Amino acid sequence: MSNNYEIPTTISDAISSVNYSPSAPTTLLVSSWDQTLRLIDTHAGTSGRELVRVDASAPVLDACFAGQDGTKAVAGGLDQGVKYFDLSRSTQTATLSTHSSAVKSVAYNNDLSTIISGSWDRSLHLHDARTSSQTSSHTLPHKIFSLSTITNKLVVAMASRSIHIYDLRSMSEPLQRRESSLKFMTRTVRCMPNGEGYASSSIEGRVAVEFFDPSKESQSRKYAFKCHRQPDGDVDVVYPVNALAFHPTYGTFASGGGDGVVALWDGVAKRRLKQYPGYPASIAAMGFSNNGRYLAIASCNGFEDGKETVPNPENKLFVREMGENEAKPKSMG
Amino acid sequence: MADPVQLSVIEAQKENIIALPGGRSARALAQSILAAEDTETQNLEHAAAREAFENELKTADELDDPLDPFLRYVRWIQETYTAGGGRLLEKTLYRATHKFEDSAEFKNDARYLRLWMTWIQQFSDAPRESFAFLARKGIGAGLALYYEEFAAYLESQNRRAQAEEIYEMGIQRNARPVERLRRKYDEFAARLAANPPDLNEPSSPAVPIVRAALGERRTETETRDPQAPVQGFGAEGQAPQKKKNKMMIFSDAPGAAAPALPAPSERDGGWDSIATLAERKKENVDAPRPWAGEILKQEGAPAPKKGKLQIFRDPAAFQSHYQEPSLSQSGKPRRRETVFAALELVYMHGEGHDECDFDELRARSRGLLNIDWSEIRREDERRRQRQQHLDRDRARAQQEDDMMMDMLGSRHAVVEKEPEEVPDENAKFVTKSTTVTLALSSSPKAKPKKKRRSMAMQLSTEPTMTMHTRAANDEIYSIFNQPFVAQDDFASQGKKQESSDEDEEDDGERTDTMYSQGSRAANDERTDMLRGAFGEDEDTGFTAIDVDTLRQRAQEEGVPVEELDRMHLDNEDAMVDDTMDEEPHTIYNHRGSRQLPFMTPIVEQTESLPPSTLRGARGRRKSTTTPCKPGRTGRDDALIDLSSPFQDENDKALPGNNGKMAVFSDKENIPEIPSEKHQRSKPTETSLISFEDLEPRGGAKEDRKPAPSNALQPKKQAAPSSSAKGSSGATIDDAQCNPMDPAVRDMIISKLSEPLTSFKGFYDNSSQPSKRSDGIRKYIRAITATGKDAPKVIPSQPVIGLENGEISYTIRKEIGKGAFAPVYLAENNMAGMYDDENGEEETAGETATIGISKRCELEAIKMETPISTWEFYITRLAHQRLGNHRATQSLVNAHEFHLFKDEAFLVIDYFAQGTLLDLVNATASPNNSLHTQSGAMEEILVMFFAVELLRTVEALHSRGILHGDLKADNCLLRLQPVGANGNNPNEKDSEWGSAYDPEGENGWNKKGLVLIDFGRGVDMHNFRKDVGFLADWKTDKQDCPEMREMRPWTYQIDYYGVAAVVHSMLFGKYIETTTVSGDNAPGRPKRYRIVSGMKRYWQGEIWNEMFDLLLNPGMFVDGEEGGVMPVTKGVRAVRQKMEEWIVANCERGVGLKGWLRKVEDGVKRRR
Repeated sequence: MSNNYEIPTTISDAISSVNYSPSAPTTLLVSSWDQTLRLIDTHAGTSGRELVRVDASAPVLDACFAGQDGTKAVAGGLDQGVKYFDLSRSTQTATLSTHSSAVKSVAYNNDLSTIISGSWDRSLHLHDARTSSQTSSHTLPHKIFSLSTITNKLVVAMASRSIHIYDLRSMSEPLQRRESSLKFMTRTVRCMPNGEGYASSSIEGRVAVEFFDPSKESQSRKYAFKCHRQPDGDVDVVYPVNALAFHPTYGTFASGGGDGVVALWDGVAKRRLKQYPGYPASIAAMGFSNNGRYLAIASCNGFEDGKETVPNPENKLFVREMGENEAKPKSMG
Repeated sequence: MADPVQLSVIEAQKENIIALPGGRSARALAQSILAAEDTETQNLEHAAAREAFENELKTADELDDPLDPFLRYVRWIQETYTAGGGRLLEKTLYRATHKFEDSAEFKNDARYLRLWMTWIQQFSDAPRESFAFLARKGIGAGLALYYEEFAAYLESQNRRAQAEEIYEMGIQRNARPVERLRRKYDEFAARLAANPPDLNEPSSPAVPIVRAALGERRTETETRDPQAPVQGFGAEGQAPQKKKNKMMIFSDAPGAAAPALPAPSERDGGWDSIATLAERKKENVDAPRPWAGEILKQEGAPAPKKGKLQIFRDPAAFQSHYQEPSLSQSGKPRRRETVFAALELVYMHGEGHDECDFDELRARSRGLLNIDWSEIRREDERRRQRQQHLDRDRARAQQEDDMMMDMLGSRHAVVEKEPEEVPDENAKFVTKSTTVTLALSSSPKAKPKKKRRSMAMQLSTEPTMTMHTRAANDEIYSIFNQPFVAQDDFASQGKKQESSDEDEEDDGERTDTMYSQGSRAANDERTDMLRGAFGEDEDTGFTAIDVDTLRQRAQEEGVPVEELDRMHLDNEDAMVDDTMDEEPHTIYNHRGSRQLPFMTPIVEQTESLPPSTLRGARGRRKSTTTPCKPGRTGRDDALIDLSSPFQDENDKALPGNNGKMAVFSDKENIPEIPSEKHQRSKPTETSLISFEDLEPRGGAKEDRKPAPSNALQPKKQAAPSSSAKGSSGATIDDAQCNPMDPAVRDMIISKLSEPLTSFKGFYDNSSQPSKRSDGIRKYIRAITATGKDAPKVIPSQPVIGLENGEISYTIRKEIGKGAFAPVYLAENNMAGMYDDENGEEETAGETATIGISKRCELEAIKMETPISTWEFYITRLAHQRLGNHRATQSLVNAHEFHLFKDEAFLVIDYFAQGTLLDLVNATASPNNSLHTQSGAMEEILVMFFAVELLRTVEALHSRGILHGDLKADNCLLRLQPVGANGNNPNEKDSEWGSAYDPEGENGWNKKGLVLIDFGRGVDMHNFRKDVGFLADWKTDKQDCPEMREMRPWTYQIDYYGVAAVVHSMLFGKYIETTTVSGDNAPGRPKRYRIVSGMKRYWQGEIWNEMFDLLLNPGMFVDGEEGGVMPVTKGVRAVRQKMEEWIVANCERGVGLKGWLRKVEDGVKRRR
């Protein structure tokens, strides 16, 4: 059914994010702790062609495409700057803004051409992608861990299990302030492609699916479930869920855990569609291609247990080609 | 009529008279006091009286009033034993009270109640419970006395609301005399009105009663009602006004409490055992029985709480809100779970604080979290501006350079393109390759930016070269010895700049100053490079390779030999050879003979990138700009290097838009070049990244440029030991460890790139036993023995011959005795022979001679059993690291180390003037000439030595060395003669100025201290940046608070040590510290201060600042490089203040010089 293969890379340190280009289904943006931002052609055969590589001055914690043509990218990392890159010229063109701590997450909202960056300094910066300039800055109560945006919504997952939902058009006040449905630290948050809600994952093997609509009826649809647990004797070892990725067309989503397992879920039917075990290390990041055919999976030491070996031997990039109906919800036949 | 009582008698004894509620008869008092003076008679009399009473008591039951004998007995005791009857009174009271506690006829007998009150007052350890007991028994229920006393007691305990209850209760009961009770109540009410009860007081009306009943049981377990304010056992002392009422009875006893009371017999047991805990516990065990119902409830109460345990509640609560999808939980029984993530790290900041992301943890563990990026950015900006400025200045040099490159380039058929003007934003964008000090390339912009630019090329454009001559060498030394130059001075040109750069390097501060980078960092890079070249993945793997192997492999791999050499050379090798300009080959020749000149730090003025990125890139960044001069060695044509700058172009010239390029990482870089140019290929390179040729030159340039500079960067600190260990490749990668652990040390020693055996003065005879120690010990025993133990014939002084007699020492006496390592004074029989040798070495520029000063006739030999090479190693290392820094004088020299199978001898300097401890003791000892009135040293002397200590520690720390065992007995006085002919007493100190000079001029550098015993020294370069040490030995007050509190420490050990030494000088006693009160709120770090107070006329401000800094270094890291220890700047600031003060005050009165002279003479006399 699905075909899984490894992309040979020269990435020498933990991968922090993988994002498929919005314009090309085989072009993957990879950011890494080795202080690089790379554009990799995932279908260049065994050579794993690296199209572009840009060096940053510090480990990059997150990156994403800024725009639909796949030529611009934005990245943030330990050097606290939100960097704007012109991938066609393999260069950084601007530092959009500077946080006072490491930039943990960046996101791009296509509808509003807005680049959002969130940092451990508890601030959120908004930038206009068209002018490459910062438009506003917002202070939040906690360190920001993950950002995700869809339509005009922005979901900010913070420390202390705090989640804010903003309307990007009026950022002065959050639309909603929520406490995470999960008991432990939020690891990542991703919005549903249909804009109805979001999924968040915690470091304690759970994923919660919630909806924006504050109505009681809609809120009653939210749920959470356990995943990424491995039996060890009579004890289940619970792994963090590090990565979530929604399928762009079907709305199903994949979760990647510290156990090196990727699972595919049907959020509507509340069923697990598939499970792909056997990745060599913790799943650090995942991303679906724009056509939903490919799922890029980065596997490396995730530092979940506070340890890492130097150098990191299991620092690998995989692509899983989805079968025709593999990621299709059962309900849709 | 009796004589009037002699009140003076009573007056004299009044402190021994215990007050009785009813007062005492003055006559009886006087009598018993007078009688007490005749102890023997008194004892007999008392015994007789006691016996009479006891007899009476035996028959008391037959009396009409059985209480009467008790009353009289008690009265007699009180009067006779004016100081309180003690055990006798207690026993008697106990018997009296308990005998009748169940007799109805005495329940409302005031006399009986009074006995109780006396007992409670003087002997009850829980008066409230005693009152409660009385209430339960109904004793005194009808007597106002009970209520008054009880209320008074409660009032004294600040339970006024309860006291009021008691009064009311008594009045309601009509306890007689009710009038008096009313009056007391009114008085109480008045007091209450004057001082209304605090809201926090226990005020619940019913509570006192119920609690009192329960409280009694509790007292026996917990001794006291938790609600009660701390009610010391001394509370009985307040008894006179305390016992009043039995409130307990009325609310408590009639209802639930009364039936629950233990049987009288059990109560007896309880009172019986008031003094012994075991008894109380016994009763406690009994008590629950009658209370069964209540107790079960209480025990039951917590049970539901168990249900609140998080594990169980979580899913329950969860499911109430969320529907659990069937897929994850198909009705299976719940299994135990364990969370894989390191929750303790994630939630390391505790509740209420933000948890830490895994990325943050990773960054933290790699030490990337606390980098001051804003400073880097500023620096970057400054650099950029400076660069523009310099660009103009260098236009000419650039042209020349280009010409030359063209020439060379064409020779290798490589095309050199002029890079285009770099856009500003590119210049700003700092790639990681920027880490290193850049080689001075004359043309920042127009030059090829390839990292692997050859050294020769660099040199060709280097305008500030000097000949490698002795004079030049000296000059460079002097540069290094200049005080630290602020980074603002960097703009200045030429050598000065280089020197300041170098200076900073010295300080190991490599974060944000533009050109500075710790050589350690540079070493990292090198290590990385080499590791990459050798394909070794293990951090530690590399360090184990010894130099020769390295060199050999380097040749095979194309790593320049000088690269390796430099790693092992010392800081003074900062030389640039002019000749290299034209003849690159000479470099090799020099190197080959290990005399090669070393480069001054060649600083690229143009494109330096933030050195701090280095840190960010620590360890595993891919493009570390290591000096890439591949293909240099191992190839006969040195000019091959020259091709490297063009390699870039060569790559670009490859067909296709995405011409293959060398990856900029050092790891890949090195092999890459050969693969293209020299048919040496490594599999990794072939698949290397292709660059779009759209890439602007600017970006590329930045990438590649810095490399060569790195190559030229002399490794100032590249002592053999440190070279192979970078911060990333720390030899010991544990976050916490005991640095004195022999295993740790062995590992460090074993990983030295240059083995210990190659150190000068290291004599390895580890295969053979020495057996020399016995003779020495025997001799020492003989000469120290006295009396009849003393042997008639003193054995001749043992001569230790070493190295086949080439070296020999005659042992004179024992001068120090450590636990394992006795130190002997030895005569160096070869002293005269060293001079020539030394001279040779100097001319040869041999690095190992650093710090090895002239040998003396008298030296000290430390005999180490068990064997430890560590002290020798770390002492040498400290000398190497410090180089010609002034503080080197303050470190003991380790001349030789003779290693045998069974023992080892360390030959060190001998200083005859004794230790600071001796000096402190001499000052304190009244018979000594150095004795002062206060018993402590003169303040200016203390400050002088403190400055010396601080300077030394500051220098050691800035170079990553910890002494680890600073104490007064490890500081030797170093008061050397000043002057050309120092040995002539008449001319002694002739050139010693009386005005103190902080820089050591006018002979002041001859006066100071010497630190000995580096046996606990630590080289921080062997450890991770964020390492915390843990001590596994037993700590005491002389150890720093971190150690005592089992917290990790690093530099604190020395700071505390300095504080302790200064403290002992200043106060003449060992240091004691305490936390600053009010400042130790939970969660906040404790702040320590010394216990002793300053003398009024001392420089309290300076001293306090110093102690504050040294005791709490962690609170002063803000201004330091990188915000981490060592607090070098803080220490320097304090030291400078001290120096200023000394300068201003050194000539007052006796003067510092005078004091030092005195000390000198004093210690001489003592010897």
